[in-house]
Amino acid sequence: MLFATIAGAFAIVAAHAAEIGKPAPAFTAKNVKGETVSLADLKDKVVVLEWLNLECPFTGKHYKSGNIPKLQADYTAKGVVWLSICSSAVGKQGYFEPTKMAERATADGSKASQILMDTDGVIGKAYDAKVTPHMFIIGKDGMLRYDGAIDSKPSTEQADIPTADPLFAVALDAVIAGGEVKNAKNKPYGCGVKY
Amino acid sequence: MTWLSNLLILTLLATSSPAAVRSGKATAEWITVSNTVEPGRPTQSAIRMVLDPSWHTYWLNPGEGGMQTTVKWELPPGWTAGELKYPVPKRFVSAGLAGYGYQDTVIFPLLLVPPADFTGNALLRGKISWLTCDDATCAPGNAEISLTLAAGTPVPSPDAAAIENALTLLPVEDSAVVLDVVETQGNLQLTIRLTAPGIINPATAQVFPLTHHAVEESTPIQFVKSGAVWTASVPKSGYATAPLTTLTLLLADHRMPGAIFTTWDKKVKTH
Repeated sequence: MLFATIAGAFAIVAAHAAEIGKPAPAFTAKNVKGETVSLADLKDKVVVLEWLNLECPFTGKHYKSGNIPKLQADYTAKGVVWLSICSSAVGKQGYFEPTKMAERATADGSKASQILMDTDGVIGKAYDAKVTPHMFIIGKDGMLRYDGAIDSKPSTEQADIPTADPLFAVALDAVIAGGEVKNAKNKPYGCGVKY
Repeated sequence: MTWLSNLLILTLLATSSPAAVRSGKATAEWITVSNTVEPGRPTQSAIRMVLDPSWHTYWLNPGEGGMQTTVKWELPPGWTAGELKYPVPKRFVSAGLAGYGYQDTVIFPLLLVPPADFTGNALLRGKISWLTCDDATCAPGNAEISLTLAAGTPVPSPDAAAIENALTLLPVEDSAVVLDVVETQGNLQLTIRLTAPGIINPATAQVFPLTHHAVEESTPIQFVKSGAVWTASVPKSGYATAPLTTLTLLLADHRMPGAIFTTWDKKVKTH
């Protein structure tokens, strides 16, 4: 397998694109504590990737309402590994120094397994993460199973969450149950990732 | 760009009113052609949004990111509101994502119908939600807007000319522009045929896909003349998994009056 390293980068990423039913692009990145996290070490786990920008109003909708923290708590309790990935470049919206990022995420209620710094955007580009929140699910076999929206209502209104079709949660339930994911690729909504 | 300049001048001429509500990176105001309306007679109003410099808001199809503006009306009994009408947008690429929307000042016309027994005054309310973004940031806007109308003989308001002008620039459906779509291996082969000559020049028109998740928004649609028709090839959206069954395009040529919606619907095979 080909690996691309970027000078000065935190992250190392396999050089092939993310595609449903194909192996999810491998990556290694630093979390907000400065520890190294590798997708390869998460074999045999269902892994969620959530693109994160805590200053984006769409992300804010799902944190301030408690929706994402609840999903994080519920699914990590079922053995899912939830990686929140921030691909905001230094100085762009959503970028914080790692310690500040950790504080800010905790204040917003984050229950993610890890918060990863992808400041150079290489993981985001490998997955073609377009917006925050953009959700991906990787099966226990390492295959990409979902690439899409958190739910069906592209708004910044918390009041829309209970009546939206929870596309991501439905897909995650299917992956955990070993079933087929319907609507595995759909258009995510949110702020553009600030690469 | 004369029509655009006219629009700009007319909107600048319109006096800003204290009814403009500021939220996020824009102000919104509900304006009317007349503050007096006749019972049962449809009357034009509009939402005027004024965006901060370098910020934009979104069209009906916001593109790869963004969000469509929505309004929830709270009208007195007997009143009805039509659909909010969207003018021709601009295409832009912001934070790497292609989008369609508006900068500066934009007027969204809205038809209102008072009840046949309307007397006195009526207070109409609406909650408008929009998203504004610049290249670095997005900020949502939420505003409660209102309009008071009185029963009486219509008298043009200071905003009447701006609304009338916005109405003349709205895109219209035109069956003389015939769109055909053939899907081939992830691409859409588009063909436009004109059954009446000279209504639009597809080769010089800007083309906007109204249908969401149909074409790859990052690729602008450009028609070229090919014999008696115009053709374009665009990648199909990666989010469109099933074969496409409908596609509506907006064609707008700033050198010609009027912008045109054209719709293709897949013929359903019957056995």
